[in-house]
Amino acid sequence: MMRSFSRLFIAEGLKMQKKRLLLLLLIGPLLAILSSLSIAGMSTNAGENKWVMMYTLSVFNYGMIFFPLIAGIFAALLCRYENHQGGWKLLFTWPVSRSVVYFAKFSVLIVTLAISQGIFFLFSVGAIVLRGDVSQIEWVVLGQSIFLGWLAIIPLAALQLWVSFLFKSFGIPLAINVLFTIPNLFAGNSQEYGPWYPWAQPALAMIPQSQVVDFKLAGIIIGGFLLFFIGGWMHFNHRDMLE
Amino acid sequence: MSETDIVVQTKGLTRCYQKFTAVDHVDLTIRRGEIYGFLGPNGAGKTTTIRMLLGLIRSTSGQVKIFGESLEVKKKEILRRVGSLVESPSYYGHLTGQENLEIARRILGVSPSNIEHVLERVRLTNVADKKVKQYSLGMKQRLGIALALLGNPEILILDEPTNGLDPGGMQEVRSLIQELSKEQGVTILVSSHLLSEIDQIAHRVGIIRRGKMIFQDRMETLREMSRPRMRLGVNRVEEATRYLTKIGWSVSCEGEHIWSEGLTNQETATMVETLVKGKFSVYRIEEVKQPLEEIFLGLTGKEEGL
Ligand SMILES: Nc1ncnc2c1ncn2[C@@H]1O[C@H](COP(=O)(O)OP(=O)(O)O)[C@@H](O)[C@H]1O
Ligand SMILES: [Mg+2]
Repeated sequence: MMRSFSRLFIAEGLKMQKKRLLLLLLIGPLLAILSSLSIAGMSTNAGENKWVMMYTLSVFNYGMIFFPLIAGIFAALLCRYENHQGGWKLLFTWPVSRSVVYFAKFSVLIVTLAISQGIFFLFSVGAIVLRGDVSQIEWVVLGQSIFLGWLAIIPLAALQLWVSFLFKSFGIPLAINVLFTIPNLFAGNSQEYGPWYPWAQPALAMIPQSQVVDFKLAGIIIGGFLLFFIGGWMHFNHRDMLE
Repeated sequence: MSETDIVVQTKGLTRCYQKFTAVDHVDLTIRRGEIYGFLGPNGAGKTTTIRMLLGLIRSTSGQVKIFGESLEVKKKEILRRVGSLVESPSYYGHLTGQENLEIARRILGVSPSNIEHVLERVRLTNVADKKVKQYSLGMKQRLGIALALLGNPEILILDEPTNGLDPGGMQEVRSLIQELSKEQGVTILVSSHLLSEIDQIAHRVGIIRRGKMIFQDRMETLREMSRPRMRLGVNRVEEATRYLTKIGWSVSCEGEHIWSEGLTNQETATMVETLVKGKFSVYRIEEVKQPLEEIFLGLTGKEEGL
């Protein structure tokens, strides 16, 4: 089981076009931070927590737009070759269980999203250093924000992987993802609906805060994860490979 | 034939798509070491059957046993010993042939030297570093076979492996199948909608039509069905046919000729004598062998077309 998992995990890695993907991972955080830098640069009421204000701006750009988009794009990319060139039947006629194939793809996806978080972290720190606020940084708050953002995107990642497996076309899961990311700008700002919306959850989880974890949000995220992960997994296991 | 010689066996294998029955109670038997030709016109249910043999789709009813074990129970163990190529070949087009094989090799957990070996076997060594999307169809097909061979399978399942190839490519694949069978004793299931593809290489054939297996036996038996018929050119052909029939000959009149089946030399001589005595002129006598292709079309129905 573990052996076939690591074999499949490596095989997924071999399939990737790594340079292009890295570029894709750099764009989101970079744009998010550049735009918040320019906004923060204009504001003059720099108080004690200048870094928080500037970081929160980035979180809104990145967490509400780029991060969910990245999750959708990578989920679609992970199914792309199988969807297009009959790769599913190739994979499934090898002596591997479908569950392990699913776990491997899902793991590659969440590792990719962790890398995205790492890049965002580095860029954020870089921007703060650039503005000379580095001494103010509360590292625990920042670290927690990055980590919780990663946890909060996992339900969406599972959902997008499911959708990508469902549709043969590469464009459909992307279009669905973009379509649901747009209302983010509204739902995400709503106290009431925001936590229920998988596309808004990463940003909400990333808003820097020093108080304890938001249990309501955590519960919804765990529930959503179970729903999408198990749903996608079951579907993956039972589907007829007809293409 | 003992039980252990049977490596693939299906019993009442059936698959429905909504109300349509694509595969209907198929009992298929493949013996160790043989080349089994799976024949049938397009849409007959070959691919559907093969997908069920590989566990790619579920059967509606019936069972599949491979190496004497139920596919449902021992799927992973069975698939480790089976190589396959289903319909159009699958590959990762943005990677090279070598990289494609490397991915498969890692998943199968076999030695890197297998890659060299299968590349040579299908003669792709010199294009191994090219991206697969630049391959010709024949090369992609051969890569598909290389992928199927990578795990040293005991059974090779090839679904229409010559589809879309030019005559040279077809011949190449046929020779490859024969080599694998002879040199390595691999059991091979090869499907086709063309009898000519199977005719020269198969030891046994199964013919499927509209989801039903209508013939399954040795290739020889199918050949025997194409026994020769005698064609006689005579004058007043209809009258002559009636004359012969009346005195007990089993003949028929088709066009300008009298036809008869399974005549010995002596019977032929007697028939001619009878005709001459009846004041008919016998112009010519020919032995006509019915081509195998026509037997196949007769079995599968001409209207289905090819
Ligand atoms: N996914 C599907 N849904 C409905 N009918 C199908 C599907 N796949 C195949 N069929 C039908 O099942 C029959 C057998 O198809 P197939 O096994 O592909 O035939 P063959 O491989 O012998 O050409 C055909 O009539 C085809 O139209
Ligand atoms: Mg077919």
